[in-house]
Amino acid sequence: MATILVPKEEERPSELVGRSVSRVEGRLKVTGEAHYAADYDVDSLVYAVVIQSTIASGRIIKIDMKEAERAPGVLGFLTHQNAPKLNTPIRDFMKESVMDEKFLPLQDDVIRYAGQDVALVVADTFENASAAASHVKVTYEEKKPIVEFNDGMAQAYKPESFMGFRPAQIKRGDMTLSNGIKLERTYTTPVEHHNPMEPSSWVASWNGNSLTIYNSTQWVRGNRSVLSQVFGIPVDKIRVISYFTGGGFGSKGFDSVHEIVAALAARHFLRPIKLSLSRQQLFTSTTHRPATIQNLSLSATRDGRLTAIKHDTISQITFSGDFFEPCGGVSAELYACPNVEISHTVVPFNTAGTGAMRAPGEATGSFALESALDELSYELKIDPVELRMMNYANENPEDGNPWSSKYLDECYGLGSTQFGWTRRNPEPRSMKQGRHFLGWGMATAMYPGIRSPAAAKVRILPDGRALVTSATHDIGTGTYTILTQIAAETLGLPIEKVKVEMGDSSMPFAPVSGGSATAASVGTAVKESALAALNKTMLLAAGDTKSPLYGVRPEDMIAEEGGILSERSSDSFVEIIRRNKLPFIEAEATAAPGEEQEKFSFMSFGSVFAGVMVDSELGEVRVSRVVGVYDVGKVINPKTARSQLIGGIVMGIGMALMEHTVYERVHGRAITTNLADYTVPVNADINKIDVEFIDKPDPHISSLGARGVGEIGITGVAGAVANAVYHATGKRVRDLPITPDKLL
Amino acid sequence: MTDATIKLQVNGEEYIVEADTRTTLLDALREHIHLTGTKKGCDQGQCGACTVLVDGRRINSCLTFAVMNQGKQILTIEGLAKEETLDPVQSAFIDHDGFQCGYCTPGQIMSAYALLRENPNPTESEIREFMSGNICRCGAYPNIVAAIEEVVKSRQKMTKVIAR
Repeated sequence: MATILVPKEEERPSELVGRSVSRVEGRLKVTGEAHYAADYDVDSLVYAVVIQSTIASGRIIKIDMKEAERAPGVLGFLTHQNAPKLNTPIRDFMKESVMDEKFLPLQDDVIRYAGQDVALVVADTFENASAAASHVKVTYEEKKPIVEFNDGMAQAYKPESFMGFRPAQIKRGDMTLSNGIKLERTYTTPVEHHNPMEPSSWVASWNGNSLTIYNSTQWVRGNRSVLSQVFGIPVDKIRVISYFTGGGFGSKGFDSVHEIVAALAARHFLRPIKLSLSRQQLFTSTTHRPATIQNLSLSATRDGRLTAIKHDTISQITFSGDFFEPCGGVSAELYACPNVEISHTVVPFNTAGTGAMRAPGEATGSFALESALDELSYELKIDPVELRMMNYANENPEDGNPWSSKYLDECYGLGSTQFGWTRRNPEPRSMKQGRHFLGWGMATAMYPGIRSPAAAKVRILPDGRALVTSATHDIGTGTYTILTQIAAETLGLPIEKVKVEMGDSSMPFAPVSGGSATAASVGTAVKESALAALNKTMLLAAGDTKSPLYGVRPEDMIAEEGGILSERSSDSFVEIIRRNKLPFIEAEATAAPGEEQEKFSFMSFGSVFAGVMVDSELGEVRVSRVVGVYDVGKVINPKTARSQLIGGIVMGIGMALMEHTVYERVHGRAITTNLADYTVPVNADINKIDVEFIDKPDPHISSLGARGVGEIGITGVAGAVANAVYHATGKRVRDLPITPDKLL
Repeated sequence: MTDATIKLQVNGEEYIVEADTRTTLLDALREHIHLTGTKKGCDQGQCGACTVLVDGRRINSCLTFAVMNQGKQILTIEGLAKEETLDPVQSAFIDHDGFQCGYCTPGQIMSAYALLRENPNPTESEIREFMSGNICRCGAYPNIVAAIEEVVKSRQKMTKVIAR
């Protein structure tokens, strides 16, 4: 037996968590070898195209397919008149069963929004299917649609809760005790569409009563559950696969009606079907961020202490969905204020289902709250950072719980220094460069630290490598990489010896990849299953007379360099598996949050500082610089986390300056259904963005100490940009996006 | 409609495709030749996910029919690496984390590869402008710019070494 060299602490590969590791799937992505749903080819594949309603409210009178049926290559059509009947799934997030819409496709003649699937054509080629679709003539009985708040106020109502998660109406303290100066303002935000680069796509094939579906999704297990109920077949007969998802931002979280249409058509025509939505159809028939009107009133003493916050949100909802924008949450929890009243009123529109788009509620609510605080800072002549520090919440003001960890003060401090904030003259229009007004603004970023139950399986292989599986997803979030780091560190293996597989509904349970919860939820499950596999291995060694570790207690062993070490001896995974004649050593573990959830409030925080240049003649705003400093607990991979935060900031700049889906009022159709009319930031729109982390572990969220980073990046950005625009121009724009017409 | 026998030269190999004359170059690559690295993001020339090089020039492959590209040299993302060796642009994208979901990445890389032939020494603002036909909704732009700058810098160093 060779001398055992226990590596020095600093040389151990045990510090993989926290290291900037390049994406492990990077090579696949830069060579075109990463396969997304529409990349899959199946034997005898045919193509489907959906035909969508051109009215937003009413009923189908007639579908004329005479010409379309004669078109070349057509295999057939599905409409509500010939589609098989489907079972209605339950609507229960906890049971993994939520659809974007509350109706099933092709089951009746009711039109709920413009862009609803009214028919589907299947043909031998994509070209033939598209041509045939253009010949379908649908006659409707049209009712006046509601696509604006003004038209729908008669049907407004106040929901009790937001999706059953948290109360929609909150009162604390006594609003009559508000004193000092009072500021009342109205802020509005438009409909926004996620627009991931990958259009939602499906390749569905049936083998007898078994369905395999390649899906661009954020929730393979949720899809499996809904499909199982809709088609009345057991979950083990359904396999939903999504190894790579080309962005989601919330739009691929729940089950889409089109997914059901694709599976239905494949079964009806007994052929594998490929269905991809066009970019235009993403605007008409996928979820989107609901429009809001937010009436916000702040009361504060002359020295800057908030005495009351009233945040009344009117959110768009739809006739066929139940998701609204919960803007008031930020006002209830971000600042210490004794008297708070939060309300949400919803108005149903005839549009496709409203849904979660990156930081639903926080992105929009913080635009209003952070703009209002900036307005207050001018009323009181107090620096905006100082005003926020004066109202710093040392505990969660809503539930009274201590924060699991909070370093927002450090975020303000570091952000302020990095940006050079103290050099700011608060006077609007005080900085000019050529024909541009310059302005600086700041805001607070925040997003809850969410964790849910998740499972993973870790298998140590006979060649000493390890395989990790979990039904989670990498939607660009770095999941493959961070799970590899976590498993490798726990097992004492180098990164190259660990392979992570995900995106298959037959793998151990994982929640929807949303709510910035994957790192804390699935990351912890991977750690615990790796520990369980390791423990099994240690027990095998300890009980094996032929092992150098025979008789050593597992608590005196550590995993290192492909095996197990004690103070005096070592054994390798390869040898342990070989001697025990095992195919592998495997453990599956479920990790779930516990009583800490009742004791602490979990929240990520940040500060965002933005510099803008406003063209005094054209009203064009350019964001010249952003500094964001974030307290997100332990950062598992600074490289990928930084990218996600930059991405959130970029989307926040889009929200602040560009993004707006416009509907016409007569027929209720979206009219900005392409990337030239609905503009998103391009490379030339983005300048310098600096992201810094506080990087101190959250001691309570889980043993990893990490809260997620997917959503907080977009929060605070629209507020910081709007505040910078005011500083530059003296014009307060309270209606997003801040387009040139609002500044001229 | 009308089927045609279309001869395409892709990544140095000849492919013979029996396809509808309405088939775009993008769909011919993806659905007929099964080179799915080139992505469909909008199918109307607005996003750049389908960028390929035709006779050395970058184009949106969704805006041209396959039949119009016979006899031309088409280069896709699959043809960029030499055996196991990645092109420096590909390596730089990995090193600088120039992507997240990866869907726009083949188009970004083809565009960056072409940009460096069009303008071997671009400034930072030229890179931003020349790369603005390729949308990245994950917002990896600063990292994409850093990746391209690194390739420019390492080429300049190489040139200096050779000059010596």
